[in-house]
Amino acid sequence: MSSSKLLKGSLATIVLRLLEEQEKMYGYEITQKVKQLTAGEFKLTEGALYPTLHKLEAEGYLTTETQQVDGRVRKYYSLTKEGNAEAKAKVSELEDFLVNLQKVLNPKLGLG
Amino acid sequence: MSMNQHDIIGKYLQAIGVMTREFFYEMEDHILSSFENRKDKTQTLQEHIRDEVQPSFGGVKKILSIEKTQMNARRKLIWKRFFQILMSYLLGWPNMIITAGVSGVVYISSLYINNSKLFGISLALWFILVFVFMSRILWYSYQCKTKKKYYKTSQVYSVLGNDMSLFISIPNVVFQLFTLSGGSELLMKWVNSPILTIPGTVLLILFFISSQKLYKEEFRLQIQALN
Repeated sequence: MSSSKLLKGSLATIVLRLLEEQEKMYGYEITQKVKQLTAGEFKLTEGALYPTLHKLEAEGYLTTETQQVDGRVRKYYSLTKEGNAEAKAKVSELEDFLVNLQKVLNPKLGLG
Repeated sequence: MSMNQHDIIGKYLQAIGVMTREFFYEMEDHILSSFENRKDKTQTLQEHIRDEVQPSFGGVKKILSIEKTQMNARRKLIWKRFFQILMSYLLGWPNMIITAGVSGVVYISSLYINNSKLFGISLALWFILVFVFMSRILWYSYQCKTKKKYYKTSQVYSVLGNDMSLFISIPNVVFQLFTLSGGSELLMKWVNSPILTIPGTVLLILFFISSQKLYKEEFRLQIQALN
């Protein structure tokens, strides 16, 4: 499985986590933040990001506001109250998964 | 953003079939942000769109499918908000006042006109509302055209335009089904019965005022924010 497929599965968690850290972000900013944090290892495609943002918005986890920036309209996403709780739950779920995955991949470490 | 850049992006998005204002603005900002941060500073905007932006979205089909997904997401939000408003009215004082008012009007007017006419009046109110919405939607599309916008409509108008046509069809289909199945007498009996006329009329009035509130929240706020 390519890393992009693994990334796609955790995209909602990544978006929620980033928005938990920053008050509000716009689409392009999210792609660049992921690129910067992973030193370019994670390539977040727009084709995957925007449907995730719109889905999270429809589920009530994100809210949006628009601002005029340099003569154009910029749409910012931020977490709702429910989104904040979901971000914590998703991050915790992913962390547990990674711990268990580590045990499977390195059984010796798990026994220690 | 220069007018030239706006025109290049607008023509591109129009050519690939982006129709709605909200998605147009989001794409425009994304393309320009990406262009401003491009590695190769000799690259033109057209080249950047062709070589960087379009492939990163997964091609034209994917861009259009994102717009469609966003429309469906917006549809969910609009109806969720509509039912929130409706429930707040149903469980609050508007329901009590309207029910008391309608009951009073039904009993007083039953001396002069029959209940089916009263129900017909409230149904006409609903059709007027639908007509107002549809006119507003068509007017907006017309304005986009005359003001030479690169998009054709807004997502809110597009969603409501599709769904309102369904609301026009439903009462018509129900009446036709009753007539075809020989149940027109039964239908008239129901329509003449205050037990059904009163809650039916109250519900239609609550639908009407809920739609009005939604209209104020969704239509005007969106336009002010984006224009």
